[in-house]
Amino acid sequence: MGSFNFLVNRLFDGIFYLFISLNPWVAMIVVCLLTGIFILLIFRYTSNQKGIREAKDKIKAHFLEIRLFKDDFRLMIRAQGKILRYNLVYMKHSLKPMMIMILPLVIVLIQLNFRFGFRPLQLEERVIVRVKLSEALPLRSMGISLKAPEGLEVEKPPMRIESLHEVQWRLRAKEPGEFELRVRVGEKLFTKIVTVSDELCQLSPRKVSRSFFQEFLYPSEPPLPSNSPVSFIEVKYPARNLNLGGWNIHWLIVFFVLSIAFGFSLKGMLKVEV
Amino acid sequence: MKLLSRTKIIVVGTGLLLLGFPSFSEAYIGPGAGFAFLTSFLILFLTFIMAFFSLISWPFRFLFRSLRRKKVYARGKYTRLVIVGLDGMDPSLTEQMMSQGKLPNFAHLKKEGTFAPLRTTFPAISPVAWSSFLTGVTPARHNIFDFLSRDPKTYLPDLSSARIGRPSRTFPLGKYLIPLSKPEITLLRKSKPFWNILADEGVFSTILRVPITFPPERLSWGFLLSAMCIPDLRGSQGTFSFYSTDPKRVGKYTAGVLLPITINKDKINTFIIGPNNSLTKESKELKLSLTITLNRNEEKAHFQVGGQRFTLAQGQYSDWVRLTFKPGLGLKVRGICRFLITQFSPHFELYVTPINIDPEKPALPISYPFIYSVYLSKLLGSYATLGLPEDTWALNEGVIDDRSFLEQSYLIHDERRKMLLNALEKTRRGLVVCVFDTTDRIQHMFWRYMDHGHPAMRGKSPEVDEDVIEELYRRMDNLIGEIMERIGEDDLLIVVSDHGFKSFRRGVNLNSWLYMNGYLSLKSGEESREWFRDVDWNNTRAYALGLGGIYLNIKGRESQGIVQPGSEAQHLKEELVSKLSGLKDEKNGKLAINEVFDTSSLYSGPYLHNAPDLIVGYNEGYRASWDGVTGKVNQTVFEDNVKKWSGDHCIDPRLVPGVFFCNSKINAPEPRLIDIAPTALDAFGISPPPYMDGRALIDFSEKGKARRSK
Repeated sequence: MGSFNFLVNRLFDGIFYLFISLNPWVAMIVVCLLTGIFILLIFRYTSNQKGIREAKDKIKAHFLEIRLFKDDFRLMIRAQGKILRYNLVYMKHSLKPMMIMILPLVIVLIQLNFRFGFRPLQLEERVIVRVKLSEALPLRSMGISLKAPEGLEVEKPPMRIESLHEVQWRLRAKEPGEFELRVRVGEKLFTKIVTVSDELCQLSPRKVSRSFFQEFLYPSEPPLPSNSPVSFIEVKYPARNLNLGGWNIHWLIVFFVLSIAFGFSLKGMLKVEV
Repeated sequence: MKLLSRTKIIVVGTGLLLLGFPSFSEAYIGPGAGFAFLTSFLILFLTFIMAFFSLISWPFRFLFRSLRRKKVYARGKYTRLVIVGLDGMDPSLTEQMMSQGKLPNFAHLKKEGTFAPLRTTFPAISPVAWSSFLTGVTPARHNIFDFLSRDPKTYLPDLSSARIGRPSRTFPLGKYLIPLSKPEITLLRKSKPFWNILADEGVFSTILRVPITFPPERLSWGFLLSAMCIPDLRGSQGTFSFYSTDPKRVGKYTAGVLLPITINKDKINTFIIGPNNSLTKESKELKLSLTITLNRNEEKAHFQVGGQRFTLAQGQYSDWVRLTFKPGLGLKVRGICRFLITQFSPHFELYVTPINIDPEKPALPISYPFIYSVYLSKLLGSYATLGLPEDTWALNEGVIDDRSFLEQSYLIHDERRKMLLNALEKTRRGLVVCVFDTTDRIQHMFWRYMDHGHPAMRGKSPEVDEDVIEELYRRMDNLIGEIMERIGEDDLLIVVSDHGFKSFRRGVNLNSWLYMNGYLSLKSGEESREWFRDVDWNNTRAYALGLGGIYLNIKGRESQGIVQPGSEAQHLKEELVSKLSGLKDEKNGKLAINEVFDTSSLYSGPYLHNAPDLIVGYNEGYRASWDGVTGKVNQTVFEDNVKKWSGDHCIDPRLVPGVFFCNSKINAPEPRLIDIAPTALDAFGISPPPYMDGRALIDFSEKGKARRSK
């Protein structure tokens, strides 16, 4: 999984390389355009294009039928029934490309989530760091400590929450850069990346223990070692929203709208029936 | 095994991921499935909106229509009238095959109702006959006398039923000519179709492919799909394209163009010729690139045209292929055509049908309402829209063979059949009319199989089953069977043909006869090229144009007329009638012309002045020769017809009546084509207007009483 994540991370780093200093909208538009094209191509080569075209034609025909035979109640109702029937046929034809698209799209969305879903810390900004233990250990008697490098400052003593098996610290960002926190739990030492920046970059909000699903969902940082007493180390980065005329919009909505808009506008050019 | 379990884990895991992490699941619905879901949702949304408004507004519409229809359906004798036109179906052949038990459905109709020969029009030509069918009047009232009419200024032929012209006003902008007005599309047929009268009275009509309905006329209640005279995308009445690597094939093809091609490493790069670009000053032909890649091992070819790809084997028709031509300014002109590889080796040859107007996005209106053609295309698939879609000239010119022509004809027939069955399903009350042309086209091209000794078959043997025409009639019988299954007690079914059929063995060039008998003069030499190019009009008194008409060169009517109207013209007519009636074939002594008719004695009406002065009634076996029809003049009056177009009906109309079948008895011993329109009106209790020349055929009084008592 580590190699896979490494490759995917580098691929997306490459794509985002040109946009790190630009407004996130630019990167979002480009990513949506690429995604739209990617999805269209998958649709084109994996779907039953003829079947989709026929189902859509039938749907359109029955819409026209409603208009043409607007005085014939029975025909109108039948036409509406047929529209629903062919809509199901259309959905059936779309199922295969949808299934094929699931995995690559989830990968894309995970990558985008750690670039558009959160923003890095800014100077003088404060953030909570959580260390969650995997089992009920004596938090107070155990030696659990956090060491921040220069550029970050641990502001207060740790807060131990026994019931949640977790310890929290509050950090303050003093300098821009990518820093490595050192967390000691008993004899064991763990690290966690914290980013202080103005740029659009991949963040790692959570460093997780070694597991297929956890690594798949949190690919930004290599996992914690096996048999670690720590379940995860989390930096609670602020959420990033895309601003449009004073409105803060969740990146997922923008992605949804734009990628579909690009897809629909390019389907004629790429000769794809969707 | 390990790999399989790992794959399973990934698949199951992905599924769990989607279920377990709502944010990703939600996102997954995003772009990929979004296409499908969004489209489906839109469809559902629109369906519900339409359903809602339909339900809300339906009672009001129902009330309005009911009040309007109440009278007409109450006084009507039938709920529905279905008229099926089988162009050119011959009564003698039908009778013969019925007696042999080959046409059980027709025989059933005859037994339960009526079968009779149907008197056709003078002349017995489809556009004339169908115009009389739909208007109930003789040609002098509907203005159609032939396929062609002539321009008295230029003596050149025009299409008789429709005029399609460019926009009258344009604005030059660079290389473009921006149209400021609509292009002229005028229907030249006069008088009112009976379905328009019915619609105005509140009877719903579905009219499918009845000839001489282009451009489509407005119908106050119903739908109409036009037919004969709809041009192809190039503006012609059907121009096929023929591609060949054989240099020997280079030549002139009637109604077609030859495009020589070369093969380079099993690849052919050529183009499809589209319409002229009327948007530009140069008005050049629009072209679409066509790439053909040959697979010699499998004897297949892969086609790439307009972004579409398909593969064909020899002798296999493609589906309708959509072509989009771009004349500029973002405009698009769309057409459809079929491809057929006629030969793979030694020379590669490809036939492309005329580019039909795409019914889904028609460049010209071909239906009323406009969306009706779109509806049919979406519901039933693409279909031929050209006026005469069966490519008889491609067969005549040897570009396609008998089998391919038959296949093409039956593909078109099946499209029409589906349209009719759909119309029968959707039109539960009112009128349904549909005309099938297959009968006409196949008999034209395959009569030689039946007529042993036909010049076109000399030294040749049939390429397909000899009983082509019998098979055709059987198929029509099956069609009638399908229709009868959908006909109820309160439905009146009428099956008609516009004329019958006879053999066309010998052609008569009337222009040559007129020349040799001193009625037509040439400027020099002893021959004239096509369309009278070498005719000396200042010394010509008469000329023949079209399939059965002779025009006098009347002073004041024709631009270079020399015959004084009145007594001189009358005297000339009588002279020609006397000399041509009973004209015998110089080769075999057979009677070639039964009688020549003075048109003014045949019928009267406001458009009589546009009619030919004389109509020639050829005898069985004869017809206007190919050269004569196109205005060629030479020393040959009689010649063998060696073309595959071997059957015809452009002869003495008394020899080629049509058929009349009805599921009701009629009270007229000799029904006529002009009687159908008044019969249709009468079936719905509407009195035929006085200008109609026909009269109702059926005494509906008993039926009416029975319905009312019900």
